[in-house]
Amino acid sequence: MRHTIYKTDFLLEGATEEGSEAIDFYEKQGGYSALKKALTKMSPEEVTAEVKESGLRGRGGAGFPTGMKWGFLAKGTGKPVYLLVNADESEPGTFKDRSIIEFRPHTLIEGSVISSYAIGAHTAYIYIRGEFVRQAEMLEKALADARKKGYLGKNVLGSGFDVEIHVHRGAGAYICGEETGLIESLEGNRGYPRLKPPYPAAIGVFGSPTIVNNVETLANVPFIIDKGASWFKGIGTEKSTGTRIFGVSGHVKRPGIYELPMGVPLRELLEEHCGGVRSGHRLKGVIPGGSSVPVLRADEIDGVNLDFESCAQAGTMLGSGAMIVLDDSVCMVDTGLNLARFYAHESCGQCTPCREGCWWMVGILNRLEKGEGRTEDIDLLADITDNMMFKTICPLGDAAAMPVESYVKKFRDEFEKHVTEGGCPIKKDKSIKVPENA
Amino acid sequence: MPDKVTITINGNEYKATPGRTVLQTALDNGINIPHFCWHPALSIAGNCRICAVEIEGAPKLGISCNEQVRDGMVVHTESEKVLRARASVLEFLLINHPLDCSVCDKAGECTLQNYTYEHGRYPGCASTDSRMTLPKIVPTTKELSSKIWIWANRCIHCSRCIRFCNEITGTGELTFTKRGVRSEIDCHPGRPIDNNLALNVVDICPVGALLDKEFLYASRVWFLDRRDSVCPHCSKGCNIHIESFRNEVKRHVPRPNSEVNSFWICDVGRHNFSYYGRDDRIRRPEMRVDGGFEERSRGDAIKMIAERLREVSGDKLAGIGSAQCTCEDNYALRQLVEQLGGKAFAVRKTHAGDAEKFPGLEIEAEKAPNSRGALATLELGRLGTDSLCKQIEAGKIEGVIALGNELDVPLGEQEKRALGKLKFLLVLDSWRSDLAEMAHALLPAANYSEKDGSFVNSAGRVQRIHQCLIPEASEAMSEWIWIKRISDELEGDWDFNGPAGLFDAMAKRIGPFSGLYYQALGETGLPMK
Repeated sequence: MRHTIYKTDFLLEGATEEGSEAIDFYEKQGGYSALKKALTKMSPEEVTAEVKESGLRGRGGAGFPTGMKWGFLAKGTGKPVYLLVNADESEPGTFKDRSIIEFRPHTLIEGSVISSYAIGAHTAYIYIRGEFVRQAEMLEKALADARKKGYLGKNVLGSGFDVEIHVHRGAGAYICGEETGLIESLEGNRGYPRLKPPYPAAIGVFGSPTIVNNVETLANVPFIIDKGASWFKGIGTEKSTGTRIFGVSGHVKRPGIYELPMGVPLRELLEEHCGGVRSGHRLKGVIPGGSSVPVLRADEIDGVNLDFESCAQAGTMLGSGAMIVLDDSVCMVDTGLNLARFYAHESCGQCTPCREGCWWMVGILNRLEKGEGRTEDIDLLADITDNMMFKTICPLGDAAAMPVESYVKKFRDEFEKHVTEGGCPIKKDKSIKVPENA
Repeated sequence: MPDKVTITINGNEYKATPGRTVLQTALDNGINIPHFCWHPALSIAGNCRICAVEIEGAPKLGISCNEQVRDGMVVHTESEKVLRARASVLEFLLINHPLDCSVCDKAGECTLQNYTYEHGRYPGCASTDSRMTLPKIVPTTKELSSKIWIWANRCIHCSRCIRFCNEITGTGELTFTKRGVRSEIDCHPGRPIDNNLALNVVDICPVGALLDKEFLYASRVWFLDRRDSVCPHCSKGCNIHIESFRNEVKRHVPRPNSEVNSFWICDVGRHNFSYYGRDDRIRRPEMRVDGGFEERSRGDAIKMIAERLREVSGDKLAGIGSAQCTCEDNYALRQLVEQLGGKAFAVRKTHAGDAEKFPGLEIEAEKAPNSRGALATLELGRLGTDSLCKQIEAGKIEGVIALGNELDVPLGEQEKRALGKLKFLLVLDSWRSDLAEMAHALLPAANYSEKDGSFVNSAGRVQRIHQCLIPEASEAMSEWIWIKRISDELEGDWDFNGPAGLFDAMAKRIGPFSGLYYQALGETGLPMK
């Protein structure tokens, strides 16, 4: 796996070397010094203020300012506060949190302990994707090592602060990566996202104030505390600070992990770091932030930088930083079908538009791909996506509709060809089997 | 927090109570926002998405069931964006719905059907053809218990039934199984939904997915004649509708009353058809002749009864009231006995069954609808005929007028012995109970579904019942009418008529009823003092 890490900065420092996941390795790099600093020299409020000042934004996809999120925590409820680490990394194309858990787990643990200290939590749960069996075992080991060294458990580093971190494996549902779906799942219920308000910061897990943060977000915290908010602000852009772990997949010469400052031009990542699309093919499009964000056509990527603002301006989203590169061997109807199947399979079934809409999209895309489509199907698809978007409890409905909507809008001619030519005009590699029924 | 906030809906300002939702406020003010998953007695699920409204300043449509009112809030419930979202939700709900209204029990009272007629058309879209041309998903039909079917293909996944089982019965039998479009309502393994409130899920199901096996294909709902009544099964006094077709009762459904039964009734009460279509109805007045009964015309019977009553008048006459009869019947009995000089009264013991407590409804142990009313009317302290029986056996009482209609309470040994010693026993009953078998004169009475009047429930709430059916026995009449005629024959001087007159006279005379008027009881009743 290690050879897939091509570019590292502070987050993945040393991750390319064997044994980087060990606690000794991390300590040699100066690991856990931030924890000492926070516990001995800073008050919880000062830690929160530092994180707020750093401009750190959530790395799960939405990019919500982390310090501000902590600030929303309900105070004086008389109930315990919980920190939930969202390690349910399930978005197609996304594998950044996995790299942290596999190669730098102690950044996450140190970040979680510091964050627990900041928000006053004495119990934290790492909710990890069910399929990450090996990663869950690695985390358990890392936690045991940290506990042995006194970074975790009762009276952390003699400061009087207690915190315990538990690893909780999910049962394999994408929806449990949505923060309230995660909370329900952690409580032992069906992974149904909750209606908001109330938000988790007021009523979260077990009826208590809860902060849910992504793995990568928390892994940033020790560095902010160690080197200061102003250092962190110096990386990236004004509104998107720090680095981002980009997980690049698809038809590039070097797919893999790239940790780069926010705001790196998309073309630079694509051409210089990843070596461009494979030879003999032309770039067709780029999905910059995980499977649920709108696609950018090859002619749209110039001038797009990989930060929250620039991506939004280009009509897409930075999302989870999982870039999927598509070359001209890809059929957009097929891509849409593949994704729609995923979302139809993962829709929890609570809200009408998502439950029915995902399934309907699969049916229509399937029909188009098989060459049985009708001209009116294309407008119908656009209509369905419009009827789904922003009309559900959680963003899964939007996540399912946005890619298909953008494919229809940006590659309409390709959809029309499927109707007029009675099938897919692109010859595809059919060695990868996808299940017929979503 | 201020007492009231001002909210603008569709250009009109309304005062709203903080903490209430936009949906509640709109409904309070007669603005109809469609809703499937929201139910006033259940928690908010927000999953159907049809109650979406436009709230100025919000980036996307808000669901009105979960939006609390804020001062200065401006809401649009009929804007183009809202109408379109509404129509799209209906379209989504219908794509996998079987559209088998023609054979569905719910047709006619189906929320999905009604909303589709009202809101289902896209603004500006002339076509009524479905855009859905794929094969539908058809989940199987299952039994959820011995009482309930689920036609899962009709389900719209509103989760009302699941929340009902979690919050109202506290039994939690139901859940969703599978995921996404294949989600289905099902019982947890080995836990059929057989609690005593289970059938309420059929009422709250917005579509015909959950079905009462007893009512399945029994009638189209629009043929049913719906009348207000009160369930006679126990002393809780749950408000019900009796729904009949050509004088035949097809079903009982709960009638909402926040003071008594909320929106619910128990399954025993719902399926209690023991009052109707009985073979042992007393059809005509009967007089005892040589150990047997002989039928008489109404007029003859009244004359003969009046004659016999004169013989036992004065303090030799007593009355036995009934907890199954209305306050008016019991009061009429009192009037007649007192007119003839009698003073002794009693009310027979009622059937004691099991009480059952659910978080959302408590079922009483006393299986009679009006014991408090009967006792109050006759100004008695407790149920039972012990002391009256002793007086009869001591020869102090020689004649008794008794109201019957008790279904499950056989006469005790002491009662049998005492009543056997009477010179004259007049019984007004609907069916041949063992009390009726002892009578010297027997008059056919109407049961609770065949008369007007009032019951007092265990909490002391006076509630009206209405005549829902024409008496099955052609000569049956409400007890108070028989008694009034006998009184007329005996030259009684009643200056009131009808249950309203009886009730108002009673309220003037008897303390606990003071201040009440029959007409003022309304649909949901009033508390007794």
